[in-house]
Amino acid sequence: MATIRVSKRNGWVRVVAALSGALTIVLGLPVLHAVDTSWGLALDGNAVTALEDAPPEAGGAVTGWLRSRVVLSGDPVAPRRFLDLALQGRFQYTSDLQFLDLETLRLRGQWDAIAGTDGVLRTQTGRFRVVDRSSAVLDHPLDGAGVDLSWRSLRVSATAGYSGWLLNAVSRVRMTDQDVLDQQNEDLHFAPGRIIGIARISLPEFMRRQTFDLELTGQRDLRDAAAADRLDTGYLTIALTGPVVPRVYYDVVVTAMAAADEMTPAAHARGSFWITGGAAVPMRVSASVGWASGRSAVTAPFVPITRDAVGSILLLPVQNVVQGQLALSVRPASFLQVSTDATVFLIGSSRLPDLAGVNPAAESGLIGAELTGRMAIRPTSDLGVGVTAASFFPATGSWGIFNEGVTNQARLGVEVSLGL
Amino acid sequence: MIGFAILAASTKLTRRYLAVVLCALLSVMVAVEAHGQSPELIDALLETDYMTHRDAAALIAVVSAVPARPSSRIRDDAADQPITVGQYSRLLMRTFNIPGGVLFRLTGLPRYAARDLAFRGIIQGDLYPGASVSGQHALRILGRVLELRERGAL
Repeated sequence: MATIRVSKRNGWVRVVAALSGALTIVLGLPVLHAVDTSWGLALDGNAVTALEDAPPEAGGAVTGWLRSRVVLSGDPVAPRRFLDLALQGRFQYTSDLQFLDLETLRLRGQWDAIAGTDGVLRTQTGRFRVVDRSSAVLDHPLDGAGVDLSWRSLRVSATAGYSGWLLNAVSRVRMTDQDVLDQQNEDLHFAPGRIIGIARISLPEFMRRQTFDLELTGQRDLRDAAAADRLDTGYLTIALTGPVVPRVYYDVVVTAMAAADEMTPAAHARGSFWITGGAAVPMRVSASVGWASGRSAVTAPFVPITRDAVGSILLLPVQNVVQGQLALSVRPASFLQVSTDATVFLIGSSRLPDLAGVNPAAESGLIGAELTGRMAIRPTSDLGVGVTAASFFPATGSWGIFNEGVTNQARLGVEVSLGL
Repeated sequence: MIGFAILAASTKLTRRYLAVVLCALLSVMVAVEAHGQSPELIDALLETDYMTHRDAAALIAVVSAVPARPSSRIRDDAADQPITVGQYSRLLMRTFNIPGGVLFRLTGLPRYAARDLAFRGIIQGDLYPGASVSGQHALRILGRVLELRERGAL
């Protein structure tokens, strides 16, 4: 009986959804005729090999997007007031996973001359990408709403979103072991639910073109209060960026984290310098240092909201790690970009990371180094080819944390994209 | 030189840049007059919200002294219809022999012409190939084409 009831309810839901869709199209057609619309399809294919006996892994994606805009006032190229709707879906195919995902469904608006000032109000609602100032805490699509109010010398923004309507297969909002276990559960269609909010105050170019940001990020786990492995966290970020001298820039971002059930604070910090060659010499040289706290006497492990990894082969979580990187990017021709970087990894506390081949008695904190080279060729607007080669050199014996005999790893990836 | 002048002339007429824009506009007029062509056309087009196919072809011919090469897909009775960003892009690509991407070569569709010009930085901002083209917008795009041609980048 229960099955029949559910089936009937689903039937009604489908009828109502179909009628709503048809009504929207009928009512929307005259409006669509009056708005600017743009659409496209992108076909992406990739193959990655570990340069060992294992065969290469291949995958692909078809991404479709649609953008519509109503200009309320101003130049059509750079309107002062407008509304736009963006829709983007992707079908991803790999050997063990196929899914169709709605990546963006966003209604955005912009209104200038707020209250007779030079202020600009921007709003957005729907599903859109949310990135915190450090991009180490959160970089993920969410379902929510955001508002941004900016003047020449002050910018205030706030965004709130929910992660529980994202597909379980694609969500990277994984903070706890339970979240990671849920990702393997094929019966779960939706990702773990969390309410996430970000509020930021910026002073753009307040002094000698320096920009200051103060940001507060918080997330609340919506599992039952009694559930084990719940985690509620808050993050306070301070950042300063700007030019040192012409063509030399810096960016310093420090984030302090507090968890509801943890008295010890955690932290993440990153500092980077980069030099650009300008239009005459299209190149960029950069150096950066980053640190994410681990468990120690004075720090707790840093737990970002989005589970991303450091390194392209090592794939360590952003926790208990120090990394230093030198990078060079050159554009010798308009269709070609070549870049390379060298990164050294160390543990961020006295605790060793959970990696295969680690020597439990290791006295050194050096994890190893990675060398990466990339080449991107874009001969025309619709065709792109990218090749990435990476190699990881583990620090072994008395040098590092790995046992003798742990060998180097290499990886080669090729990507091809065609825009329709 | 004309490309730079048009670029300057077609930017927004804010109070701050009014003097600069007026000087640039004057230099456009002088340059056009020197070629024995009509400054009135430029003047009128700067005020136009919707360029027609005929306006676009005349603009290109007057400013660049290169006869425009409209697509054979445009019917004669459409000459006074508003031209879209995509159609204007295709007109520019045909007139100045700008190499297109794979899909433009295969289909010749305006949307791919617009995308190719955006890829080369000639069209800037959000791209809507079906949107109409204002006079200022058309002058700005044409200015960038001429600037890149002068630099030998096209």
